[in-house]
Amino acid sequence: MDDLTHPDAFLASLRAEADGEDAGARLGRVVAGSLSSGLEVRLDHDRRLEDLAVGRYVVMKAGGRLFFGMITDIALDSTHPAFEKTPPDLDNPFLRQVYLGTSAFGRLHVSPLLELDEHDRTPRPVKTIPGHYTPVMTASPEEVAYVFGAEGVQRDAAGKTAHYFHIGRPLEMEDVKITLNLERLVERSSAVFGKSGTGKTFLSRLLLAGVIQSDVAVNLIFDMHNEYGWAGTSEGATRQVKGLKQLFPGRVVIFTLDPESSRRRQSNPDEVVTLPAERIEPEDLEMLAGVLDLHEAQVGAMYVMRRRLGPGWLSDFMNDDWVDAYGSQDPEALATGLKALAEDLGLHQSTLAALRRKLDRYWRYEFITTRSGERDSVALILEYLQAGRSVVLEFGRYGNDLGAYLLVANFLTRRIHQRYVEMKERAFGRSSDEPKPLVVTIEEAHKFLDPQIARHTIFGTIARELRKYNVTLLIVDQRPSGIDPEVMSQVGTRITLALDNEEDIRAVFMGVSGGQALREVLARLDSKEQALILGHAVPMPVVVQTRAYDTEFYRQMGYAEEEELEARFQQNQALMRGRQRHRLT
Amino acid sequence: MASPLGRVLRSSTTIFTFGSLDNADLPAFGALVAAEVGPTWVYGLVYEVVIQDDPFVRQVVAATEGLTAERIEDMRQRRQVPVEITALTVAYRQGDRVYQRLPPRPPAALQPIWACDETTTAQVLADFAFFRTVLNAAHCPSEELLAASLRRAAACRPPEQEKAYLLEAGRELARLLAADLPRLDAILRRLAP
Ligand SMILES: Nc1ncnc2c1ncn2[C@@H]1O[C@H](COP(=O)(O)OP(=O)(O)OP(=O)(O)O)[C@@H](O)[C@H]1O
Ligand SMILES: [Mg+2]
Repeated sequence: MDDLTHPDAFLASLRAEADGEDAGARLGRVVAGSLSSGLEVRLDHDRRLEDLAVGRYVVMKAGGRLFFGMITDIALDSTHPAFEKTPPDLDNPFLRQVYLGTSAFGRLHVSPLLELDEHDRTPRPVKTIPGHYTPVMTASPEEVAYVFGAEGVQRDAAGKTAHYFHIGRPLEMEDVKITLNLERLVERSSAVFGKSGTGKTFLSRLLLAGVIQSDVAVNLIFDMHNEYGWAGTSEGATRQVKGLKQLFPGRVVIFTLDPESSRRRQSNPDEVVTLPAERIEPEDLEMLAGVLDLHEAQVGAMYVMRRRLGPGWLSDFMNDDWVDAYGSQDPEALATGLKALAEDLGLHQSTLAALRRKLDRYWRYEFITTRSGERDSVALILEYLQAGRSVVLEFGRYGNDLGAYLLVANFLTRRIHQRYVEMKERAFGRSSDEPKPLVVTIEEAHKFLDPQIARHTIFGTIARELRKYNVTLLIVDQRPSGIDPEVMSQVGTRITLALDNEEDIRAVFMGVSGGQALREVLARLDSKEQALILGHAVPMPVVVQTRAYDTEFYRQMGYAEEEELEARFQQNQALMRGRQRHRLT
Repeated sequence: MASPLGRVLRSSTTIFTFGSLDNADLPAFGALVAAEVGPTWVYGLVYEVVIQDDPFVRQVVAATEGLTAERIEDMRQRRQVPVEITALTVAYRQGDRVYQRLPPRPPAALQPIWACDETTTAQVLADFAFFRTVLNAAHCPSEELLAASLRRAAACRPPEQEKAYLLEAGRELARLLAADLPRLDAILRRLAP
């Protein structure tokens, strides 16, 4: 483990303040601005706007400090309004050369992001801004790399050990690795946003691979579309990519809700999930009210039944024979069946009838078992998690059934969270006894976190209580505007691929100070594999070309192809034989 | 610098006028000329050349007969009234340093006036502080003067620097005259190579 290295080149550049006259990299000078609204930079006359782009880093050296900023807007300006109304004669090459860049010039808006002190070279949030006419330069690859920290295990700014995971490279810098601090990523809930097809799933799988490899947290992944466990599909040439279990066979287990589909896809599931009907509680169904179109009275009825009929309430209520026979034992009863049940419970018969109708489809899910004494998936999952193994839960064909997805994810997470709360409280702050940090990954997260239900679902709770119980979320979603603002404001790290809906873009910046300035940057990401990362896990907002999820990545995660393994085996054998021969002679 | 261009007739803080009898070798509009004033050299840009009449010229002009080319040339050479040349003071030199500002004292009467060579011209007009002096000068075609003197100064430099010098001057003007585009445009057009 090496300490954060301080590249000499970087230090030299910080010292060589020299009014920033080291030509070449200079873009212009700071001419106005404020800490809150950002800096205005007038472009030098020999700089062409066409060569610039929002999202690019710049540095400014002033007063023994190095300021980092990001270009967040680009504009045309002129020294006099008449230049717009009556443009000068630009056919004359001399006039053209004089006017362009001098009277009519480019202007950059730069958001100050970080500052580094000459003595204490730790990147810190900006508390002031560089003065008037400070030269503004393009940030060098060394400077950017320095701020993000080298890939691997390092000590972070606060002196804590941290795993820095390579997530991509900055735009226009081929050889720089942008890294995320994984400890900080899992410390609070994080999110991957982006419209459909931008690479959310690929990026999330990349992140999860990093988390698993570094063993920073265990994961529970609700794999709605069967893309994380054994193999994922790709629109690219490869068609199929390896899932987490193939990369980390010893550290990932696959649970499935739909063994048949898993077998068909040859995804080698380790366990089958079942939901014992007798454990389903009204709370598990209440959050489905939207999907099931349950009215308040119907939700209320479930709670009444749970109270009066006990744990078996749902099995009984959904069992036709049980309902038909209800009250028939009682000779004095005036009615039998549903009517009697309704009267007993003090509910309307129509409410119960409607409830039965609405629950019926759910009741037929194969993963809901009515046999008692079934193996409890919750306990099993927890066992794996505590053994340090991540769990991918494949939904198989149920992935297309929103109700099933919500029900299962909510059911399991509520109970697992509950156990985490207990374990954490029992640990009394002894960190060795604390449960291993858990990251719960949910796709289509807004279905759990929309403002209507976020208050009632376990996911809303987890997001809001931060890391109190060592459980955080990885939210994967294409509609950030559909997520409860309160939850949104608790999301620590936001990784956003292209979005084109105004509301969604606005939602991403909710609760991020200075976020508005980055709007233009976000609105101009490529439609694929480019992301704006901001928040807890990065020292400053960054636009990356995401790392490719390919064979090279597999290799770096420690995966070896069979031929490769075979070759290594042969090599080792040869080596050993050689040694033996050596000994014999 | 064999012989002076002429001698000072009158001067003020901002301009000096000298007389020359040599009609053939008049300094050009925009040329840099110099006069020694005690320990300093004062530099000015030629902006006005006045050829006055005298009774003799009047007579000759009236008498149209017998006016051969030879005779005209002879009369030009032997005039009694000097050509009056006025320069706008833009800089002075003290020791090795050139200051683009008004000198402490103007040239005294009858001081000889010298034409500046290329090196001196390039050196004295290397800086652009004199732009304001020219632009603000009253009674002087300042736009024309500035353009003419800059083009001359450019020509005094090595050929590879000529264009860069003009561009730099143009940009400085664009800065100074940001609020007066017609004027800026007029000068730049005159400056264009
Ligand atoms: N990091 C990456 N490496 C390699 N290919 C990528 C990467 N990111 C995206 N892709 C390509 O883009 C395609 C779409 O990516 P992905 O499935 O992750 O999008 P998505 O945002 O999850 O879409 P949806 O909203 O439909 O779930 C992939 O099939 C893959 O071909
Ligand atoms: Mg996806």
